[in-house]
Formats: sequence, C-alpha cells, structure tokens
Amino acid sequence: MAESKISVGIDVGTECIKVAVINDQGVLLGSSIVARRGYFQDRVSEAFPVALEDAQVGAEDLLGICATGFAENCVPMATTFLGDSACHALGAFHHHKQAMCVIDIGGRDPKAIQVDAGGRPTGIQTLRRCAAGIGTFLIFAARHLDVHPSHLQEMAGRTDESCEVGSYCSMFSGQDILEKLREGVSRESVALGCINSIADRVIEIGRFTDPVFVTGGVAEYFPGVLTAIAKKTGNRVEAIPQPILAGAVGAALWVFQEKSLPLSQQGENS
Amino acid sequence: MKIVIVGAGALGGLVGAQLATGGEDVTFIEINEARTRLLNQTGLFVAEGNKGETCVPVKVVTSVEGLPVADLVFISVKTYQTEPALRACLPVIGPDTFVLSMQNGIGNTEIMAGIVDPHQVLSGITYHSIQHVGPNRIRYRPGIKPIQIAPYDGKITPEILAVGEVFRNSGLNTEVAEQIDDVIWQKLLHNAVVNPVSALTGLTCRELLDDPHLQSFMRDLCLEIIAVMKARGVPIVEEDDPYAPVVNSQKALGKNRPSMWQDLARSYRTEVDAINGAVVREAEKLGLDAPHNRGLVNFIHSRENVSFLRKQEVAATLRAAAQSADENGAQEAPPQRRSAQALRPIRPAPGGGMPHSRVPLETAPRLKKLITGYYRDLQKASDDPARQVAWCSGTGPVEILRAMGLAVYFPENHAALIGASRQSGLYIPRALQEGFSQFANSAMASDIGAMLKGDSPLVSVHHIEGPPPPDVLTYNTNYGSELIRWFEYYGRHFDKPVLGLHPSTSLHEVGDLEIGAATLQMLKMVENLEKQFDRKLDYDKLADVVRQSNKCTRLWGEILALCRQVPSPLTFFDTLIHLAPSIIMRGTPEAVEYYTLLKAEVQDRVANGVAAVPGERFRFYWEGPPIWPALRPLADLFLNHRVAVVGSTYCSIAAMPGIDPKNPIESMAAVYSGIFHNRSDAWKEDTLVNAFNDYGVDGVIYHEGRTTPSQSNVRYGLEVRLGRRTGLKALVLEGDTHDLRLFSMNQVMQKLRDFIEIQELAAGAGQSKANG
Repeated sequence: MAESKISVGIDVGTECIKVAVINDQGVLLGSSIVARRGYFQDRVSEAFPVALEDAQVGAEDLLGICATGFAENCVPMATTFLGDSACHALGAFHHHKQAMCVIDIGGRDPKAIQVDAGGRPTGIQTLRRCAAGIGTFLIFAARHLDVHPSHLQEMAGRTDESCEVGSYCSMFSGQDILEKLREGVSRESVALGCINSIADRVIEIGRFTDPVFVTGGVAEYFPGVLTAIAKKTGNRVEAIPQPILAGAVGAALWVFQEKSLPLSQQGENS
Repeated sequence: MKIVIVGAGALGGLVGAQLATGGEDVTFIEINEARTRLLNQTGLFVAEGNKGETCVPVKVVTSVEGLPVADLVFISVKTYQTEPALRACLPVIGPDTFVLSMQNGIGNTEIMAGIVDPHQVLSGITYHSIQHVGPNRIRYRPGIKPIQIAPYDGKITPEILAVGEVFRNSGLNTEVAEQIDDVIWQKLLHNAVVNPVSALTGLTCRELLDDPHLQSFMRDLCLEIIAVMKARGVPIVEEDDPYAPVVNSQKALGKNRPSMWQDLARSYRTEVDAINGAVVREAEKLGLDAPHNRGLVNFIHSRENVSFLRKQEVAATLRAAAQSADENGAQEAPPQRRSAQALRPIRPAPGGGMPHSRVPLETAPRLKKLITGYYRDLQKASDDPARQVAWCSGTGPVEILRAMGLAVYFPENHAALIGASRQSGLYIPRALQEGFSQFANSAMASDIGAMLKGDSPLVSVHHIEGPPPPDVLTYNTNYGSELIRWFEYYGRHFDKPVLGLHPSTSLHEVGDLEIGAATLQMLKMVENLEKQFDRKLDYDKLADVVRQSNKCTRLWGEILALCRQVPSPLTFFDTLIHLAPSIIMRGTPEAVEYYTLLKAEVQDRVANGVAAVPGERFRFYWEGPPIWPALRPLADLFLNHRVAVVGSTYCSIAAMPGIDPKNPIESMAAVYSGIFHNRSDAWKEDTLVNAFNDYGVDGVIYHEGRTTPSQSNVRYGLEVRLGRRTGLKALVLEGDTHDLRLFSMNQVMQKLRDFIEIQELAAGAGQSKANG
C-alpha cells in the first residue's frame, strides 16, 4: 500500500472535541468541532467521521491518528498521543515559523508555551491555582447574562465601560456577576467585565515575550480577550488562523513528525 | 560451531548473545546459580546504545558436566579466575578446541598456555564498551576498531581464520592478526592509568579530569608505563603527547567509573595484578623501575582487604539479625487483649498505599518487621504501668527521651500512614469540627480527626491497638511552627505536659549565640522531664543513644548519596519508605543495623549498575513534602516515562550530620537548629544548588503544599531564583500532603506529563506515551 500522506489530529477538550485532517503539505483538508456533552467517547465517535467527510477521505487513507487534550484516552482509534501543550506549539508554529510565546486559552487551564525557532516547546507556564475555568467561565457567564455564548463578545463590544469582575475563582466571579445584575449594572458592562477578567487571569501566568500567538477556542469566539491582554501588557498579541483547531492540527502534524517524514512546510529554522 | 562461554558477565554475555543469534551452538557456564536461573528463564536483554533491546534466549549451566567437546571455549571471567575456570573446562577441551581470552590486562594467555597446548590458545582484544544494567541486561556501544584475535604462538592457521569468520557472520566485526601484543599494551595503558585512580578516589572520569593534582599524577603514571612499553618495543600512540589519548578516554567515559571501582565498591577482588601488576612485572624483566605502578598495586590490594573484612562483618550482622528475627518471631504473637481503647483499622482506599518498587529491594521485608517490632514495643510500653511513653516531633529531641527510658511515638509518622492510605478525606472534616480551618496543616487534621473518630492505620498495618497514649509530649519548631498547635491539641486532649523547643529560626549560620540558646532550652526540657518522671537523665546513656543516632543519620546520608550514581539505585519513592527508621527509631541500634544492611544492598546495586528505574532517562529532584495519597500514581508516571526522582529535600532531613556522643546536648542543639527547614532562604538555595549538581539532575519539581507553608519553600519565588542560577528546567506543583480536595490531582499529573514530555521532545524522542 502506498505511503499515506494524510493524518488526523483529535483534540478532546473539556468544552468541545476538535478534529483536523491534514495532508503532508500541511494543508488542512477538513475539520469538525463538536460540543462536549456527556461521554467524551461518544462525541469523539461523532466528530471523527464528520471531519473525514469534510476532507473527503476515508479512515483507510490515513497514515495515523494522534489524540491529545484532557480526554485523549477516549479516542479508541488513536495510533499515537502527544500532550496538548506540545500540540498547540506545533499548531502555532505551523503558521508562524519563528520562536514565539504561544498562549493557549481554551475551556480551562490557560498556558503560556515557549517555542524555539525549531518549533519545539521549551517551557510551559500555567496558573498557580485551581483548574481555572476560562472559556468555561465565559460560557457560564453568558448564561447568567441571558445571551448565547457566541453573542457574548458582541454584547461586550457595545460598550466602553467595563465593570469590575474578579479573576480569583470562577465561583467568586460568578458571584460578582450576580451582584452586578442585582445592582442593575448593564449586561454589556458585565459582559465586558468578564472579558477583562479572563484577560487578567491569563496575564497572571507571567511575563510574555513577543511575538505572542494565541491558540484555543477563546481566541476564536472571544477576540476581545486578546485585545484586552495586548492593552494591559503592551505585548503584540495575535491569534493564529483558526485558533480553536491549533491543538488538533498540531496533533495531526505530529503523526508525520513522529515518523520523521518531512512536511514540505516544516523544519525550517528561521 | 560448538561454543562454550565461561562467565556470563558483560563481555561473555555480549559475545555469547551475538554468536547465539548468529546461529552458533552456544552454552554459557556461570557459577552464580541465581543468575543462571534468571538467564535461563528470561534470556539476556541486549541493547546497542539507545536503540531498543533485543531479548536473546540463552542456555546457561553451572558446570560442563554432560557437555560435548567444544570447538571454541571463550574465557570471560575475571583474570584471577582464569586458571580455575579453564581447569573446570578441561572436560570439553579436545585437541582441536581453541581457547580464546579477551580479558583485561596481561597474563591470561600465559596462564592458559600453561594448562592447554599453546597452539590452542588465542588472545583477543575488544574495544566495545559494555555495561551491566541489570543481572540479565547489558547495554553496549560497539568499538571504533574491530575485535582482534591472534594466535598465542603467532601462527595463523585456516582453523583460526574460521573462528574469525564465525564471529563476523554473527555480526561481530573481527580481524585475525599475527600478534596483538602491541594493541593489548596500548589498551592496557588506558586501563592502568585510569582504573586504579578512579577506584581509590571514587571519582568519575569527568571528576578526574577536573582535578589538576590527579591529572598530574596520572600523567606521570602514564609516562612510567610508556617507558616500559618503549623498552618492550611497543609502538606508542601519539609519541609527542602520549597522555593525550588517555585524556580522551576519560572524556569518553564521562560520568562513569571503570570496572575496578565497581569491584572495590562491591568488595570484590580487582584485576589490578593483570593491569598495573603486569606493568611492574614487565618493568622488572626489562631492568626498569615502576614505582608508581607498584605503589598503586599495593594501595589497591590494601583496599581490597578492607572491603573484604567489612563484607565479612556485614555477613555476620546479617546472620545475627536473621537469628534474632527468628527468635522474636517465635515469641511475638499479636496482642489479643481488647481494651476500651482499641481502635478501628484504616485500610488503604483504591489508589492509595505505598508504591511498589519495580525493582524490589531484598531488604524491604526486614523493614516491615523492624517497624512492626517497634510499634509492638510501643503497645507493650502502653500496657506496662512501669513504662512511660513520650510523643515527639520527627526532628525533635528523641535522644533525650530514649536516654530517659521513655518509649517514643511520632504522630507525624502516624499521619503519614493515614495520608498514604488515601483516607484523610474521612478524618479532616472531623478535625474541622474542632475549629481548625480547612487550610490548617492537613497532616495534623488527618491525625486528630482519626483519633477523634477512633481509627488508626496501626491496627491494620502493625496489628496493635493504636497510638499509645502519651505521658509527655515534646516537639521542636525546627520543622515549622505548625507542630505547636498539633502537640498542644493533644496535650489538652490527654491532659499531659507539652514541652517545646523553639530554636532561633531562618538561620544562615548556626553560631554560638543560637547554639547557646538552643542548649539552654534543651537543658530546661531535661529539667522538666526529670521532675515529671522523678529520675535523673543518665548522661552516659545519652551518649550511647547519641552515638547510635550519629551512626543512623550518617548511614542514611550515605544511602541517599548512593543515588548520585547514574543510573540511580533508588528513587524518592523508595527513600520515602526507608526513611522511617531514621525518624522513629533514631538512637536505637536496630536502626543502625537495618541501614547497614540496606546500604550494602544499595551499594551492590550501584556496583552492578542496577537501576531503580529501568532505562533511566531523566533525573529529577523533588523539593517540598510528598503527596502521600498519590504516591502510587506518581511513582507509576515517573517509571513509565523512565524518570528517576533521585533526590529530595524531604528525605534528606534525616541525614543530619554532627550529633556527637562526646558532647550530646550541645551538639544536638547545634544539629537540630541547623536542619534545612530552620535555615535562611539563601542557605536553602545554596544547599539546593549543590544538591542539584551532586545528583546530576535534569529538572526540579517543586511541590507547594497547600497546608504546609513551612515545608513549601517555593512559595516566595525560590523556583525563579534557582532557575536563574542553574538554568535547570523546573515545575511547580500545587498540591497538598494529605488533602486531595484542595487541589486537582488530574492537573498535577497533566503538568508532570507535559514537563516530562518537553524534555523527551528536546532529547529527540520520536514517540510519546499516552496518559496513565
């Protein structure tokens, strides 16, 4: 059988499952994103064929499947695994071939990942706190504000006046939201306050060195968080293209890298 | 070809395995019965460099009885065993059998030619670098030059060429030469210069290179040997600077120590007579003098004798210990009496319990007996109205208590058992009802909660009724001031006196002022104890106890230091288990005996290159307290990723040097005031930097215990400062010693896995392993 040139990465996060199908040129052939409800494995079984169909390939065409993320062990079809920090590093490096600081802001557990000029992660910093709901917090804040999570950013964008929402703990911050609503503060202000609260939290990880590239679902759905981070830190902060897929793309890239197969866009130190 | 390999060590193992894989009929003769059984069972695992292992099935016997005549007998025993080994093989040596030696040094083939027909003797030399990494595992790097075989009598025959062919067909790059005297001498030069110096100093080759005095001596030694070689007519490699190639071999050996060191450490005879001894003999023949070499031969033999005597002493101790254990076992039945104080057992929850070593220590079952004996005695003391019990903190003045004839119990050890059982969640809430905050020391809360609920792990683990009630409680705040509340709670509960030592804290140096104050505090404590128990402290008895304490802490320190070896013979998860006697039995002869045995076994591991983590790839240091309820998953994670946690602050506490029987109180005051936790941040930093270097670590794990501020040194930026000083990769884990509710174990495991993965990727790992 001819050497397959297609791989799949499956990033099983806490909020959603992301699947990316790429070829050996590093081109994204197809993808799928499925919200996580109930058992991880069931959602993985849903998302996988959808991505294959999107890419117009069959499972038999694949060189390998790499699983990553919180529930990577719920991917029975995986042929290999890689930690999600390393996957996000690969996914970001795929778009920007340079040494960088990657910030992964997903459902929970934001991380800063230093990546060297060769695309290898050299250090990871996380928050010194409990599991830190980030995207999860925003989804749950949206519920308090009676708005669909995908509209929260828009709501926040309608005002310049932010209100104070704490960033110590999701439960405490949730309390803050309720108190503000009780006082009659506008939902727009509260929404902006939540966006800023996430930014504050991420900044607690430590100092970031430019260039800073952001991956993860929050960059995709709540871009205001990135603007807030940039404003507060003075860093140049940019989301990579399709940031929510970074982990899955990185995982798919690993399938090739692990077998030391060259990717025509890879391996150039700049 | 029918081949008999005598000695299934590193060299014989490799050659035999290759020949067997090549299809030859290979039989190993090995006198060690245990190794014979193991090899027959599992085969021999051979790995080339960092490539994967292959398992070669091997046939091993302990004698040649019943074997047919061989075509080739390969002698790969120690040079001093050549003669008996060859004689034992005579039944399988026929007129056409070749006898080949590739041993170290010079003199083997002469010995062989005196026993069989010289025409049958072949000498050989190999440049392979072979290591024993376990009783049935070897790892090797092929030599830069091929194996060379030469006939003793200098006449190459077609049959000898055929032997070379057989070797080549089995993947051993081999040449047949008329003589290999020259290359043997050239190889001997390196062995003769490096081996004895490393063996006598205990230094690795890298350390030898860093020592200008030793380099100067080694250069002189080298030139002495060169003179002999020149006189003999051996061509000299790099005539202008003949020591230069020897420097290169030291660089190549790096962190390793040559086999002569391993032999001495293991209390075995060395091969010095065939190496430096050969130089001395050759010099004599040529009318030259070789004083350096002669001196070294004498030095090495002297150390061989000392080790041998110590080995006999250890063997005698082992026999005595076995005898007394048998006697105790016969007399001790678990106490049957049920009193109103009998507590309920605490058994481990799923996932709890102490981790099982993948490479179990033979000494480990003795530990269980030792500690059970200690707790049974506490039960006896509790039941005996003529005896009294003191509760003491782990780094408290146990020596004084023992000298006063008190039986001593340690709540911290009890709390560790509860933590390891993973059942703290049942007890901490009960303690909170007493008014403790959720963030008060969780070891204390677990212990107090269990007491209030009437449960104890001592019931299930050591079959006693529970902690013996105290007559007095003593503590030292050198380990942190949280202890004060713990002991005072119990003082109130049992209505018994609590005596505390409060030495000056955060000390950079332990000066006269601090020692003076601590001494006065101790004397005051002695006074209070004398009053309470209406007897005087016997200072002679105190000196005895302090003497035992000194030996105990010294031995423990030596055992920990053995983990500097690469690969490490023990990990943090082993030392956590074996730490106990140094805390709860410090000052007793039994603890000293136990550590003597343990040390001997660990030294043996070191000498044989046995790794606690098979395939050790990375070495970490653990700063901060352990996470008791998660030891098993943590140990497994590290094992699976081939990470050895080789050093820790927690286990090093008990290696307190300096307690002096000639000056008990004052030395105790100094030593106890000087423990790690009682020191300044700057002192701690320097000590940690030294520890990182000594243990050759690749990364540091800092555990910040939620409820243990005084043990969690990382709270105030330590990791950043040490990172700047050392450039070592570090990871901060937020956890706790006991309370699983206060942090996310999933996050801890994920972070560890990420941290390890970065290093694996940097080291060029092609494959990663899944979680768990």
